Formats: sequence, C-alpha cells, structure tokens
Amino acid sequence: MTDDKDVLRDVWFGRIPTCFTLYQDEITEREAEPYYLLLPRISYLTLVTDKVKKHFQKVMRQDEVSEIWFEYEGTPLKWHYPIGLLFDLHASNTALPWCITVHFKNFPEKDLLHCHSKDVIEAHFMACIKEADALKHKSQVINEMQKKDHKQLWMGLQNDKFEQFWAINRKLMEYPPEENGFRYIPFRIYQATTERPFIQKLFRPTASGGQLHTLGDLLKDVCPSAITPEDGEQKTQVMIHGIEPMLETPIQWLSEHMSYPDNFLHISIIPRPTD
Amino acid sequence: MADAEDFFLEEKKFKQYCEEFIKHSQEIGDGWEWRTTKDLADGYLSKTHFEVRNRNIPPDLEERNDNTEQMLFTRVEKLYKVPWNLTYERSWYLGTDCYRHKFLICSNMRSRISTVGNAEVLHYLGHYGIETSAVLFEIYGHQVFIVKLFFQGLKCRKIHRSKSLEFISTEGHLCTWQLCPKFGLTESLLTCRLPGMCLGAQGVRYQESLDDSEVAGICATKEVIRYEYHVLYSSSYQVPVLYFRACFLDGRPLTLDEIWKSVHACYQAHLLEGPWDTITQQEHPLLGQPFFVLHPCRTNEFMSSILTESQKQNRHTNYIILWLSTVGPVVGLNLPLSYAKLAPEQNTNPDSVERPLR
Repeated sequence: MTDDKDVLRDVWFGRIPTCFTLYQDEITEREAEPYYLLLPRISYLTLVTDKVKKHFQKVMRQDEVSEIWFEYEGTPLKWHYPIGLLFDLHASNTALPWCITVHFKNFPEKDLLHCHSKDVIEAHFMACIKEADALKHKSQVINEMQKKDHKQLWMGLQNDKFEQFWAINRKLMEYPPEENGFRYIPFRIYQATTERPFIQKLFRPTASGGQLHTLGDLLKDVCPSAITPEDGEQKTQVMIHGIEPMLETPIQWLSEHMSYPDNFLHISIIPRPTD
Repeated sequence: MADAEDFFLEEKKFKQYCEEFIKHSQEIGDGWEWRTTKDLADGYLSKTHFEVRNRNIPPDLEERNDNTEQMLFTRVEKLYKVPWNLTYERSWYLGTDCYRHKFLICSNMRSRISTVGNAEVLHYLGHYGIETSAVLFEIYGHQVFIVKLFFQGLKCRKIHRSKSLEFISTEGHLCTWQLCPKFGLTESLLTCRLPGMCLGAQGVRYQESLDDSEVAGICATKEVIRYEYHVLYSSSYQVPVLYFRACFLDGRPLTLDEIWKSVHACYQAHLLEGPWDTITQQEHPLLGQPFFVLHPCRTNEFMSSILTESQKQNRHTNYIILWLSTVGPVVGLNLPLSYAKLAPEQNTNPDSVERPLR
C-alpha cells in the first residue's frame, strides 16, 4: 500500500525542464533572453508561467503586448490540456529541454481558448473534475462536497500542495464497498494525427463476471489501432505521465493512481521512435 | 416518486429524436442538418443563421418587435441566402466554357431574365414585393449568389475602392467578388475568393458602376453576425449539449463578453449570478475548435420536471425539442412553434389510447 501512495507523489511532482524563447517577429526594445523553467506535469501552462510573461514583457513595448500564447514547432499549445499531456503528445521523444516559443500577438482564435484570468483556468479545472465524477459516481460525491472543498482542490493545484489537494481528492477516488470500482472510468485518448481532438467513451472498470478490465482491454475497445497487430512491429507507444504502463495494468488502478488532478486519465498515442 | 435519473437520455434515443427533429426542420426550412465526423463514429445537429442588429447596441425585446427591424432582417436574409424554395433548373455555358452556370427559378414567383454581358440575370419579386436581381454561379459545387439590390436604399456591400462585392454563399462562406478592369471598359474579370480557392469567371459586364457614395446603407448602422449552433451528445452526463460560436462577417469572432451582452434581458440576471456556470468557452469535442458551451450539468434537473409534466399528459415527447426550446433562447436560438405540434411516428404507449381507470 505504501508503494501505491508513492505513485501518487511521483505523479504530482513530475517536472519537465523547459526553455521559453520569444517569437522572433515580436517587437522588442532590446534582445530577449530565453527563460528556463521546470514545469509541473500536472498543471496548466497559463497557471505556471507568470514569471515567463513578466520576463518577456520587460523587453517589449507596452502597446505590443496582448494575450500570451505558446507554440511548439508551429503548433499552438492548448493551455487547457495539462502540461504533461502536451509534452507527451508533441515532444516526448525529443531532446530536453522542451523548447517552447512565446507569442504576444496574432492570437490563433481558431485553435486556442482564451485565458484572460486565473478564474478561467479554475472554471475549466472544476468542470473537468465534475465531469469525471459524473462518470465515476453519477456526480454524487462532488455534489455532496461543500464549496470550500471544491476551493481546496483548486488551491491545492494552484499552490502545488499535495496534501491539501489529496485531503479532498481521496473522496473522489473511493467507491462503495459492494462495487469493484467506479461506475465508468474517466479517460481521454489523444493522437496528434487525427482531426478529432480526443476519444472519450463510456467504459466500465470491471467485466460482468467481476474481472478487472485492463489498459489493453480499454484500448482494444475504443482505439484498436493503438494495439499492434500480432505480426507487425509496434508502431505506436501508449504513454501516460511520460511512461508506458504495461497493458495488463487494471484500468481501475490506473484511474485511482495515475489520473491527473482533474481526475481524468489523459493517454497519448504517439509514434514509436525508430532507434 | 420518479428519480431525476430516470430522465437520462440514451445515445440511441438522442439519435432518434434528432432524426425526427431534422425531418421537421426540412419540412419547414428551418435550416438544421445532421453532420457526422470523418470516421462516422459520432454525429451532431448543426445550424447556421445570420442576425442583423444595430452596431454596438445589443438587441432587446423592443427592437425585435419593431416592424422595420423585422423587415430589414428579412431583406438581409434574401441578400445573403439562397431562397430555399427556388425549383426550376436551367444551365448554359458562359464565356470560355470553363464554368457552368445554373439557374434556379421558382415557377410560381414572378420573374424575368435579362442579359448582362454574357451572364443571365434573374429578376424576381421577393417577399414584401421587393424586386431583387441576382446572377447565379455554380462553382465547384458551391452555389453562389451575387445579389445586386436596388431597392429601398440597400446596396451590395462595397469594400474601399476596389469595387468588390461581399456576400455569403449557401455554404455559409464569406465570398468577395472584385472587379478588375483588365479586359477593357466593357468587360471585367470577376474573381471570387472562397476559402482556400481563387478562381475567375469571365465576361460579366456590369451596367453601372457603384460609386463610393453608394456604400451600403445597411452596413453603416447595422452589423451582421453569423451564428453557428451544434447539438452534441454528452456520454458523461447523458444529455444533449449546445455548442455555439458567433463571428462578424469579416471573420472576427465575438468574445464571451459580447456574447453575454447579447443574451436576452430576462436571462441576463441568471447569468450575472454565476456566469462561469452557464456559458464558457470550450474545445469542441469533435472538431477541436473553440466554441461557447451552455453547461450540461444542470440539464437533467430542469428536464426532469418538464418531462414529468409532459408524460402526465400522455403527450409524445421529443427530448431534443423540449430541451432546445428551453435553452436555445438564452443564446438567441429560437424554434418555430410548429415543432411543438410534432405528431408521433408511432404510438409507443398503448395505454395512452385506453386511459384505464386506476
């Protein structure tokens, strides 16, 4: 049991070394130096980059600055996806540090949501938690909580306080003793190559006979192309939090231990690197 | 005592209700259609409509009831959309036979055809007895109307001095026609920009040129907003969800603030209490683009009371119609009353005929 709790800590404290560079066409009064930062995998870009913004705004004219947005190799980065998901999906097999370009102009209205304040991030984060609980517990647990409990989840994430967050979150990870797990597993599967942003379906953690469904069972059901054909090479990797969990892992366990703070399992299917 | 849970909408039922809904929409020309994702796994309802309003002034009840506003709106509809009741077909080649032009004329509408250069122009009387002139082109499967309006002070919209005409194709694309006097004074090359394409049609001559002073009266004081509505199914909440986005004709999207301000006055009080719970910007789960969403987590609450009432009266209930008529008006989407009179395809409840005494 102690080992399992360690997993929760390892997931929470995962970091990605990142180098932020200002887009070359931005107009500056003097040269902009890159800014290095360790980004928490479990957080959101616009929540943890205040210092990045300040650093670059110092070298820019005030009238040239509007909403900040980030891009990696030409792809605008969706701030409403957790940082770890963005990295796994776009850059996991490239050399560190992760090089992100910072923009202050020409906000891509067709690709990115606006994020004018921290309230927007909080609303998005809480909406994800509510949706996850709708799947796990028909919203019973989240609705029984008081507003201050909801606030504590958000503050725990915002201030990087593991204990504060999990004091409340553990209730969202419980299930009735007569059941073997949640009602449905909150998960999303991402592939950079598809038009559809993610796959999300209803999936039960246990079979009718009571056996636990595995990660492999989930993929076979909703994204069979991710599981290799028996004769071919394995062309893709299935990645969560930067690692490839074994396909035999029970999905209920993954949901309890490797979900992001929004209570979703965000799974990336990426091309396997050819060594 | 019925639990709110009993009113969850299953995905199969969602699709059935949508099918019924689309059928009625087609009958009355309400513009809804069913779209599917590329992998055909998921589908959703979709509708686009244009709204005219005074610049910088949000519409409210008084304005909607004003007659001139109503008439203006209808005329703009004629300006920007193909009248859906056109039926007659005829085709011929224009100029260098690169493009085929198709004409649709409604046989019971008073109309006549004249020739402008090599193009044929349809003149017809639209609603309110307004004479409208139109040249119809079919380009790569998109039906495109140029409408030259010379009535009641409404003109084609002009941009700067390049003498270009701006309008919306039936597919909802913003198109710009520009006159380039390349082939002499009596012939002009028309180019049309559809998104991603640039092609030309040769040989249409304009009989009169539009002066700078004849800039469209409509655009000086009014603005046109394009609304797009999608109804998707949420498997997490087991309810339908309304996604929408709005932009001006030049493509600039409306901000959340601008959307909130356009919400009908009686809903604004509710929004002010907890705006973050009601309308937020989110990623469209099938298209991946930013849309505004009406939050689904309270849907089941209010739907259960509506559905209970409806079932008590043994009425055929189409969940989508009941739901959309409740949430739609909050964001400017109205359903014509005829939806409420939908007759059931089949009576699935045999007891409703007998009404046994209990």
